[in-house]
Amino acid sequence: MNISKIYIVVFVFSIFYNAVYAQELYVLNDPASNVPAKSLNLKYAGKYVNESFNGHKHLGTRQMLEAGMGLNKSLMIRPSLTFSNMYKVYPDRQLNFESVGLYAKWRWLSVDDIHKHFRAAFFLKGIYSKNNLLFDELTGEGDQSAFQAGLIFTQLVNKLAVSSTFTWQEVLDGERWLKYGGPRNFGYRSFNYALSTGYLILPRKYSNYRQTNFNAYIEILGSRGLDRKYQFLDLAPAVQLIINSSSKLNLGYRFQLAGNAFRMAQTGFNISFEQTFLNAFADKKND
Amino acid sequence: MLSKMKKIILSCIFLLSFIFGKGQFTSATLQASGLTCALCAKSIFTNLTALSFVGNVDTDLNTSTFLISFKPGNEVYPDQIKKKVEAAGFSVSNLVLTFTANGETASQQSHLKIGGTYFHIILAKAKVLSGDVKMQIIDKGYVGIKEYKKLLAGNKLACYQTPEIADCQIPELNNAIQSVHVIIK
Repeated sequence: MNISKIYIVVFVFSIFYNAVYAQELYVLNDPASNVPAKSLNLKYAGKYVNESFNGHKHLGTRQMLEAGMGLNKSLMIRPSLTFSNMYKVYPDRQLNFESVGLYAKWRWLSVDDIHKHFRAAFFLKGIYSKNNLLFDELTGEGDQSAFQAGLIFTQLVNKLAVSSTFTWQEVLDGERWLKYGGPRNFGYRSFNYALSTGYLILPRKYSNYRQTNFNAYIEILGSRGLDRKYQFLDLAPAVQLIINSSSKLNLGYRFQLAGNAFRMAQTGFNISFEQTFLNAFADKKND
Repeated sequence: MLSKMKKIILSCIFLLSFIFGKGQFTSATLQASGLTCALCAKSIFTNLTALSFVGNVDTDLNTSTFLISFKPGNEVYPDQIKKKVEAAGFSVSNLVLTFTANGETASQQSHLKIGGTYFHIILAKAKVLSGDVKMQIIDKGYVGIKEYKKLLAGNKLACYQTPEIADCQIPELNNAIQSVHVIIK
């Protein structure tokens, strides 16, 4: 199936399907909104894939820790750390340190109205990774040492939320600058894009902060190699429980709709838990 | 002659209006914009309760409305309320303060000093304030963008057109911590 057709179908589907309530606390992508100023959001995420490489199949996993911090109303930073057993030479299955990253997001536009907003943000991310290049797929998750720059646009209208993310990625692996002639085995530059949408299933009507909220999300994630010709498009449905207006439990599945990229896996599960500490860095006096 | 008299009377009222009243702010209704999620409302709630002059905050999550009661005897700073909502990542679309008046006189062009804030009450004619008076702040950042544009078109006062206190051209205001424009609801 043609990738652009799928993109249009899912986009239209997501718009009509979200007519009731929508949320933008996406599981795999960031909205243009930030962590509140002087607040902390800790996230643990586990990614599980059926890794298939050189004829060996096994469960590959990445364990990730992130600490999102709101510096002020429009700027946030988020250091991250990952451990994984991916990219290992069989039969090594040891979970080891894999990568560190630093993400910074600047919300440069915010137009608010009752139950409505349009926001735009610019982000940068730098990742140092121990991994060797093995696959086409370039991510900001820790697979490669890389630099990312991107734009996010999030629109919430009458409780319908749609967010799009456009990311330029440059792989900063030492191999990129080696001069050995001949064709390159790997791509170093990609354009990643995503469309995220979500809706609140429960409660139908809010009563208090302690109510558990149940959200469902659909995210579409695509990538296109800019120096090496490949592309893929994934669909990632997810469910989310928000407990006591401070903790989030996310469960998602991601699978490829179409593509021709050489990837570690075309499907994967992810589970994550987030805890928000509002006003964690605020001094107790008025400021 | 008549207009001269009118000027003198107005000046008197104007001067009188600087005499401090003993009234105080007791509560406020704040509607925030840009959110639908309870988690988002919680960040506003947490920020508001951190203010030293705020006593209790009740939330209506379905309308993103916060009912704030102030601690008695404390000065109330509207700009701090606004900053707290913005720090949470959202905006104020409506802020109505309830002022329990005690015979304060409000006139056209008067700046009523309550606590550390000068309140410019936009009125058609002078009025003695008594009982609970609901004042809506109509400056930029305290109302929705569309409503602010309408208000700007309807209020040609130089003082309201720019956020600069100096444009009010009232010497007493030069040392003011803040000045806001309000309409009585």
